[in-house]
Amino acid sequence: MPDNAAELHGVQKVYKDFQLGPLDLTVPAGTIVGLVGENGAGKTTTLKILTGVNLPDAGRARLLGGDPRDTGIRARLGVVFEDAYFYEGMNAGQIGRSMAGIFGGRWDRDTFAGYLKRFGLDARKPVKEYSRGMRMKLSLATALSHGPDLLVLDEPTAGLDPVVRGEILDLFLEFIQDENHSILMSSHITSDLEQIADSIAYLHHGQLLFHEDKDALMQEYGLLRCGEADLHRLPEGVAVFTKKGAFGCETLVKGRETVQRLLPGAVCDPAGIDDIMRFYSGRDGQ
Amino acid sequence: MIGLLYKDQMVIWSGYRKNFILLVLLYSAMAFTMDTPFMLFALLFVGGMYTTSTLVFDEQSHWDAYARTLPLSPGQIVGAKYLLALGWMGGLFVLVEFLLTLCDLFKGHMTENLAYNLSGCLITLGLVMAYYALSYLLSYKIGAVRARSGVILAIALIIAIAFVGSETVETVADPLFRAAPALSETAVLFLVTGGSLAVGLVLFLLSWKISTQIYTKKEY
Repeated sequence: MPDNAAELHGVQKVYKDFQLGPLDLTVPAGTIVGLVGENGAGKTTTLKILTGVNLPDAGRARLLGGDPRDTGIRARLGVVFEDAYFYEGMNAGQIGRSMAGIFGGRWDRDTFAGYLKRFGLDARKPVKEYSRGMRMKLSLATALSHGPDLLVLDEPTAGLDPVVRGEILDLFLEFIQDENHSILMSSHITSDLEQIADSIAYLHHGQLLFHEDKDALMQEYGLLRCGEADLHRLPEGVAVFTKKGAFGCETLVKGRETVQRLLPGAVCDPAGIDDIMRFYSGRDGQ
Repeated sequence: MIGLLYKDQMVIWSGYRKNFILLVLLYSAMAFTMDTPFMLFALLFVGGMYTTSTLVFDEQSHWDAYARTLPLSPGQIVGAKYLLALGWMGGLFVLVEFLLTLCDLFKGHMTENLAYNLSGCLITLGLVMAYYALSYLLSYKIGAVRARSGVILAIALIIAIAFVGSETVETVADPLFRAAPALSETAVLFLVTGGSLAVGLVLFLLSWKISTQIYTKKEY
């Protein structure tokens, strides 16, 4: 098992109105990496390059130590795209038989049947009669029943109620119990990532702003509330962006401990992933 | 690849089962009661239509992008579509031949029509293969929905060119026909049948190869 389940080295993809990269990103084996970013930041493009759906214009993608286009490598990959569904007229039983034909010996019929039972999915019911949550569960059951080493998930919890989201997040945590298993997961629901991710990669306008350990990130970034004059006492580069209001300033700071030391009277709470994204977007908007 | 064939067959069967049974009954009824056995040839065309529809469903459900993440090569993904089409055409060929024979048996002129039925069926099969060679190729190039209009336009264009250029064709072909030794009716039937089938098959295989190349380079 390689040290990294997935790697992107200098990957670039150029479209008419958008450019991704150059991008370097790694998914260490045995971890969950959360990929966040605004709509159109390049998350899906990144995942499509990594899974071999599209080729990069420049740079190199490595998946489980090999080329994403290698079918042997892809046999060890489980993918769930937000909008990738099976034809609605098929039922879960037929989908299972189809996937068994595709994955051959790797496909575990009992595991698939177990997931259907666990998720309460009727194998004879057509997909069109499933709710959005049920479809996502079916996609996950399909992605997990051939014993993948890496799961690549594009917005797997989008549009789901908290109960279903909780079930799915529990499933991811179970999957990662095997230290050879890894997950790369994009999501707009940052609270989900705060719950399960080991590290967070933030894509912004096609560029990777950071990829850091989640706990370190929460420790490092802070939301500072103080008067404008206090901000001048901070070293350069600490304040990421400041929003000025009628009652003072709200600033995203990097290096919370430094800020607390320099401005002991000011309030500096830990910043969540949402806050970090909101402030970075605000900075660029200005 | 078996999984892909199974999936597409299930898609066709769940979506077109009633339509297929209705068409078989309708064309059979027309062949048996209205002396229009050639209507049964249309069934060969219908099979290709069902299989090209799976490309539309793949696009609509985003299966086409998802398939790229599965342990399948582009050759297998595209090849499954062409094999499915060949399978349907082959199956329908047997069905149409059976119904034509039954029809002739019913009307009591089986012996004299046997060769013509077989020849007609094979010529139609050749034309159907040529049609779907173009249809599949365009589907992979410009998308399955747009390809439907594209194929109709392309055929209209071919007919228009043939119509405009018919005099030129006659000028070139007439001396060739006169120079050729007199052929028996059976020989002509054999040549036309074999030619149609061969051209259809070559175009179909060529389309398969080019579509695989297009699919390999396609972006999602």
